[in-house]
Amino acid sequence: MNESSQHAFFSLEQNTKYIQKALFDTHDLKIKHHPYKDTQGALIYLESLVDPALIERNILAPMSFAEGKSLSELFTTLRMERSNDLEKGIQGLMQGSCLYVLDGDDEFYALTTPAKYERSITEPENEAIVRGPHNGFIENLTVNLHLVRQHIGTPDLTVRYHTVGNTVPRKVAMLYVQNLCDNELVQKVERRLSEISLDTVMSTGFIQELMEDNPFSIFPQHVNTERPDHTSAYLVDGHIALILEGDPTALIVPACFFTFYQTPDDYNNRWMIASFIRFIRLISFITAFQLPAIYIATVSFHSNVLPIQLFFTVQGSLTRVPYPPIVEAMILELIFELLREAGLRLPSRVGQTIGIVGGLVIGDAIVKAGLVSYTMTIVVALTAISSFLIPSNEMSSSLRILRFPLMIAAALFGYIGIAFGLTLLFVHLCKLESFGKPYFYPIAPLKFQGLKDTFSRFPVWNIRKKAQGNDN
Amino acid sequence: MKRSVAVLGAVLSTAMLAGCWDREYLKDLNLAYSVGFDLTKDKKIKETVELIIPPESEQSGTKNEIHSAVGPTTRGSSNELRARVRGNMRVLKNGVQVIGKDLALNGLKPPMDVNFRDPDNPSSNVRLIITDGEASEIIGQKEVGELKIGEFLIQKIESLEKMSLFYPPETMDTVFKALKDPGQDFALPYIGLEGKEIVAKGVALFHDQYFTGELNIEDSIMLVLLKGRSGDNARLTKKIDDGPLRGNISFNVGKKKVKRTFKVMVGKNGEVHVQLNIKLKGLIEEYTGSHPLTEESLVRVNQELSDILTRQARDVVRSLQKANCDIFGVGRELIAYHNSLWKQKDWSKEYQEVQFHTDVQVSIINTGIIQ
Repeated sequence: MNESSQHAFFSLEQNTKYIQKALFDTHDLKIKHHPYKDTQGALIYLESLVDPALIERNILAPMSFAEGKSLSELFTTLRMERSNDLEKGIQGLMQGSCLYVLDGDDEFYALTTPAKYERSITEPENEAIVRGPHNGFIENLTVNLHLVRQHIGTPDLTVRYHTVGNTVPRKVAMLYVQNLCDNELVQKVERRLSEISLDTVMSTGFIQELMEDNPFSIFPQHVNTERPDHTSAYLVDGHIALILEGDPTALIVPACFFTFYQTPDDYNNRWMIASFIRFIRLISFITAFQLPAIYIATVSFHSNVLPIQLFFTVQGSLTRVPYPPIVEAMILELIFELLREAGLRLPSRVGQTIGIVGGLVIGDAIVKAGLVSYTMTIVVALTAISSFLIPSNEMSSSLRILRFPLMIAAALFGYIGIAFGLTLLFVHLCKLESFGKPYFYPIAPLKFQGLKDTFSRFPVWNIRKKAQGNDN
Repeated sequence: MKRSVAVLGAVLSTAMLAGCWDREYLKDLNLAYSVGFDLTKDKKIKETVELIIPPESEQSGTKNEIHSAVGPTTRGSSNELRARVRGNMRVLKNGVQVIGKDLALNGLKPPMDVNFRDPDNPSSNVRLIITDGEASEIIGQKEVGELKIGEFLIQKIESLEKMSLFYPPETMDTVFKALKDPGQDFALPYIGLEGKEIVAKGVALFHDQYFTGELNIEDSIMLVLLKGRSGDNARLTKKIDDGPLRGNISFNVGKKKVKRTFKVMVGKNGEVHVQLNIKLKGLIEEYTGSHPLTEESLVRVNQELSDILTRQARDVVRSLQKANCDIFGVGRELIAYHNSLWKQKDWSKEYQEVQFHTDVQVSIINTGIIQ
């Protein structure tokens, strides 16, 4: 950021020259000569950032009926400043202001006339819920803050602005509820934010990666959501949310493993249904990354665990496959990942074609061709479905990657390999921290009170503290 | 640098690839589902296996092949067999082992040894069956109706277990336990071939490792009841020969829990008394007599049936003692509670001198829909 200042000149021409030079003669810089009374004057703005209607209504129209009023009285824009620092004026230009410069005056007017082209507040596509508020964050920070404030209408909700990025600064809002949030945590997040020294911060992904406790861990350490209600729920729980200007994603810290398995729907449903769904979801955690490994270990080491009827069915489907199970699994996983990535990038109308090609043509033909077996197709399909059950896209991706090392361990050592792989995984999970909070809470450290809202969801009156209750 | 990469690669692959020794792909296995052992005339072991041929696709069914070979020991004949069958013959899903009478008379320990010694052989869910003829004849049936012989034998044994003919299920594991225990003997399902049919003949009684006697089907059920157990059903049919109540009566005593008192007592002179009482609750399923089964007549029926069953139970106990088969574990009780006495005794001789006081009480609790 350029901190220098430049006192404005008395000559209009010098001023316009300076601004033109500072913006490298960019073509969308418009200088409209517009005299005030008998003095030469110029309206300077970037046409890509201003709203022409605002200029028309609030600047040009009043000036044409001047009738002796001073300029400060004339302009009817929301904010008007008189300044003599040209550099500050240029900053203003970048934020959508107009500058009105008069000849023979070393002070100019900075008038806010920003254009706002905003998406409507629609429900985020990848976080759709059945019941509950259907609005979502958009690319405007003010609107996003407004949405959160609508949910938490107390003065306790605090917003702190920070600026990240050196050459292209961007605003980050840090939100927390004053009395519910740990002070130490606030300081920790603030410190990490201030230590970000990157030229540009393109997206929340940058912030996420720069702030993580352990960037080499496969597990995401921030929850990200585009839902204001989700964000508010976390804030009330004592978490901190970070929202970047121009990005609809809120980053929530600290995260723990099981928060990735919770959705707002859990609390919109009645508790028994919610518990059941949550239980299913946690089963999916196991199947999403262990099923192929267990299958591989079974057919290459421990075929005696199969019941006799299944034994022959599996054997029958395997006899025509020339590869060892691990190769077979890798082929199918690879095809699945290809299809998934292709489906993600394609427009939805073509996407259906991918479904047909992938699901029907490849799925059936590959078995008939003897490249993979039917049972392996079932296993991989089940795994794929389970991985989509996880509400968080990030966690689901992590688990998808995790199954590859586990598959290799299973192919090398059978069930023992899986046991060792899982041991290492859980050691890592227990050791991991997110902003000083244990990641695998409430399992490690074990806390029974916390378990009520982890594997199942107990009724709200059972898990929520009462009004006078102290910190959980 | 190059060197360290090579060293690292070597170390890693030694550590990682060690697991591949134990790898045994499912698709390469040829499963022996049922196995039979016989003693040949020159005291060798003849092994007969039912080999399941892997299906060509997951939709087609399996076929089986019967092979047999002779060798000096069990493993020896298995090795002989491997030379005859295709591929890698494995017994890891073995469900049933049939043992010929001749081999059983000569003792089970030597032919069973390999099953317990080599952990690759399953033992926990393998049923042992004794046949009155040659095991190879039973296995040689190859198919019974739609079922392959192994499946048939297992289904048959399981259904008979439900009918309390043999209960609790005797598998390789339970037999091993009994073989190692001097104070406990066992009995195994006893089958035979009648024409083309495989029929259950009762149980084969064992002392230590030797086949020493047998019980017929009705007595087998009584034996199960005397053990205080029953499968899902235990049906008995008895003839009542008592005036107006005269008729055949079929009743099921397996629906309710058998109440059993089993006490081993030692007399002054070291003689062993065993009190063995069971109380059965029966449901009448069939009665051919003409007299209605009223409350009063049921008292008579209970009395009559208790008498009949007590007589039968005493017969069973006598047969057990004759076969020297300590199936109730009287010896085990002595080892536990009268150890000094046990040490003086030569159990395989003195078991026959044990005084059993057996009593069976039947009470009919239900006569069905009609009286």
